[in-house]
Amino acid sequence: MNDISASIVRCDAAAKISGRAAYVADLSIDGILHAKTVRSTIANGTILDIVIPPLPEGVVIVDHTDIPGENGVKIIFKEMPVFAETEVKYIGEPILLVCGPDKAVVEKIARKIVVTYKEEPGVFAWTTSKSHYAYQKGDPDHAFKTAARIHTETFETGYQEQAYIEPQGMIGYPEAAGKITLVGSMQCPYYVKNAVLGVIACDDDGIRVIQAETGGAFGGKEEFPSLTGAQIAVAVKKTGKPVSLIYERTEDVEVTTKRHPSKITLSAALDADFRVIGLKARVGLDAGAYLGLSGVVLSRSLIAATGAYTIAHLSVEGDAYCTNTVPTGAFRGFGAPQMFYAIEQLMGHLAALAGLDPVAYKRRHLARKNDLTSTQGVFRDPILLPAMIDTVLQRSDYKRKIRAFAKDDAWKGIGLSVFFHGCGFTGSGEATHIKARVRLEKDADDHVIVRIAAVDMGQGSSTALAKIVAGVLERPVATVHVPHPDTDTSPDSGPTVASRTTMIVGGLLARCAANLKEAWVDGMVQTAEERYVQPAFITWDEEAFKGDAYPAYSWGVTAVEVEVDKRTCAVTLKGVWSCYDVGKTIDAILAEGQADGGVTQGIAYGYLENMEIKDGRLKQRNLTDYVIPTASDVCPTDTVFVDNPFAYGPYGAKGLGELTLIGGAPAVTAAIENAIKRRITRIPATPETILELIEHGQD
Amino acid sequence: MVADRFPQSKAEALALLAAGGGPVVAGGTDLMVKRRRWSGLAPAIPETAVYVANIAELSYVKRRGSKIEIGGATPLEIILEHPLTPALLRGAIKETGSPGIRNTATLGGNLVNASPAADPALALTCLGASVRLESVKGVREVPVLGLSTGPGRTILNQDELLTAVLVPMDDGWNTAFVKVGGRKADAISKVSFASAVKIDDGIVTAFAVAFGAVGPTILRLPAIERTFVGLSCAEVREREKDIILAYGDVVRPIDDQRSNAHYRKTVALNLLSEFIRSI
Repeated sequence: MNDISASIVRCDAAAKISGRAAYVADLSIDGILHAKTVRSTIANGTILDIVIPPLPEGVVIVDHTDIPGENGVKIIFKEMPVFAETEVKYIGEPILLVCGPDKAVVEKIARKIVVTYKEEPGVFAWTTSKSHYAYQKGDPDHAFKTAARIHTETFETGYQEQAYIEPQGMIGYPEAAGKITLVGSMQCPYYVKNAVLGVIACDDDGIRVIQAETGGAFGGKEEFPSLTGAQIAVAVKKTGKPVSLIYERTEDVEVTTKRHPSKITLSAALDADFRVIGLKARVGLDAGAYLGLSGVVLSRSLIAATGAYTIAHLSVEGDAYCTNTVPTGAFRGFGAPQMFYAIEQLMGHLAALAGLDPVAYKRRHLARKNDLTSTQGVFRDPILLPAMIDTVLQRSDYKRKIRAFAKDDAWKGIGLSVFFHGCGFTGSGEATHIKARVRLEKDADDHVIVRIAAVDMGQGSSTALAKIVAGVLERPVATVHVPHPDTDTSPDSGPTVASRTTMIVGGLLARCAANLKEAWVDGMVQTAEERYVQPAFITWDEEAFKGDAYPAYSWGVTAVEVEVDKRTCAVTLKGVWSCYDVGKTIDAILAEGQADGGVTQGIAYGYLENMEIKDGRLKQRNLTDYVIPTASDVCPTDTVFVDNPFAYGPYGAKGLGELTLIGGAPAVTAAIENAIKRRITRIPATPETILELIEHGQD
Repeated sequence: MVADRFPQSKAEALALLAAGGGPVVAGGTDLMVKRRRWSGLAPAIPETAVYVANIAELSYVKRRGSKIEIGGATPLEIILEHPLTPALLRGAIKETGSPGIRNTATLGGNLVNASPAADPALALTCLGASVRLESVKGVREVPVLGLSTGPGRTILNQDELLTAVLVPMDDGWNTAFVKVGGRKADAISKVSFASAVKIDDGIVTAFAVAFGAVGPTILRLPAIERTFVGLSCAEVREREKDIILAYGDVVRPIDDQRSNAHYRKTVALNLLSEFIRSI
């Protein structure tokens, strides 16, 4: 059999390249109503009055009074309303929908609606903690008491916008017997369904959710579509008609979730050889107006506190704070990019303190197989970091360059980051919360349909999963079909998040396919199902943050070389080299696509993508002002994947999607520091920030 | 009737404007964005708008005496590829928008849109270009410097159409254009700089610098520039500090969503310093 990594043409390539693929905005239904959201224009206060102009025939207002069930979107809690009632907590909070058949009329009515408020001062300081976690390992107090020296630094990270190509969109329509079907751009059809069930107060079969072709998500379509899905379901329930809610780009940038800004204070206890013997981490995340997934994001941040290193004594705590700003949420990396930025920067600065090369210093601390993780779980699988670092050093010519740049007056620099990503849900989440199920359906022509809830949002999962199933069945990939998830026909294999799709869903499908293969009868209609069973070795105490936080870890090393323009402080990328251990790539080109996109998004997080907020209002509200890299900004990337098969992953595969982003920001920041000989503690390191550092910064 | 709004000749366009038509829509790459509405709805451009992009007689690049004449509705990409286009203008256009925008956007539109961050307009200002403004009442030729009176505002009368741009040829000049955007392509300038100097036998015989995105209009100060004409290159270089001080007084950018005043001013003056030292 061919190596599973050998690349094939993507299953969705023809439809997408030809323009045939139907995204939610492409769907048209006779008699559909177009919905426009009327939103809070203040950051904090209460609604005193809403004046609605006379409504033309066919135009309907949908607000909280139309909700048959609970006015709360189930994410973890239900604290975020579907529509504001009296309180508004951020600029852009949805108050009502104007729905009508004619967009021009809807737009006019939406503009004429006057909301008056009693405005309160907005809370923008991080004072209201809504989620707090803390854990310890070893004896941190002793480590700090006996330390030869203690080094403390605070790091800050900004917002990041997912900037998926396709803005958020949801369409709903009524079916027989009061059933409502929702079709939308999303990562998690069952999250939408479960959120809507409580809002509509109906039985399980009252809501059907179908994923439309999805043009990018990056986490931005994890929890947010639960809100638009709930709103559209209420609108369909009230009007009895199909209703469409498609965001414009500016609206999408202003009101949808983004990466949490963070402030992370790290104290390292060093022995006489400058070795880190203890670490204290204090993490703050800005959750925005509603907590949403922020507690879970925080927990992933905290678990990553030691980075890719083993540190014996730890004291870690953190809070997610609510403020009167747009809610933050899931974004590729999910709390890890902030933490890895901070710890990698700290390690670089400690190396300088020790008078050592940063890579040599990092090597002294690398986690090894059988070491205890930050949460006292065990790294059970081989960790190939030393060889991966060698690979990147050699391919990037790091050692020669860093020596040359130190002597050179030109502002050139190179930096290297080491990182991991915990694959799948934290702890026993897969077993206790998700309980994934998959089904394979074989028809009389011996074609196999893969029934799962995992979505292909552009990352290529339908191709990867089809390859896994076809590979196990030893059948042609063309006979395996992965349709878009539909909650009426697809079992809940869990959300498309946490780099779990290939490893967890793909793993289940591989087992399911093995069973089907064993029972296989040519020409017979057959089905096979499989449920997630947690590997027995995993133990996790959620209260104490103790045990195996993840079933497996993917690892990465990224080096970035930059040149900084002395006149303008603008950064030019000169080279990007990465080495990843994702167990086994299921498709080499798909994996490279994830690697190129991820590292670019991660590097841009570190130096380019800038989003600021003032008094609760974002300053960059469109993709003209919030710039993401173009092809002219990136440089050729050099990517190596090493094989390190994971026993429980299909063909040995572990998580891939998020890992590749995580090392970008710390590597580019280290490179810029190397170039300008100044210390960076805040990202993005924009030219404006670099200028400030040149004028006032520390060496 | 919509058809009326797509004149086929300059004369028809001027007649429509004389009858109260407007605004003029050329490539539309700025107006379509400024006036955009919910997707699926036409942008909020008035029915009286006069669309000039299809007027063939306004799209050309040709030599006229010692100048290059460019039709007001000539797309930027055509100018970029034309052999007569002065190097400074070509350099600025190359960094304007993306290929898609450059194929649609026109040089006249870039000037009349009156953005202080416009790149082609900066090059034209530095080169001392002028524009021909026509109406049914007559023709006038005015310098590009002074055409804009503030963001989105110009000295054009309601019935006037920018029909041509007249650019001095820059043979024998040393010119440079530096754009500083949020990224390396398809970005709006945070600060931009254009310079043009002519040196004969070690003597500066012409000197021009212009700054973009550092004030409400593109900044060029002929009064300061004139003080360098007739000096030797070494004398100009020796005055670097004074020159920076002089421009430092008038380069007064603002903070906005794309950058901040301190950065803009520092970088503008860095670019000026670099230019002075290169003379």
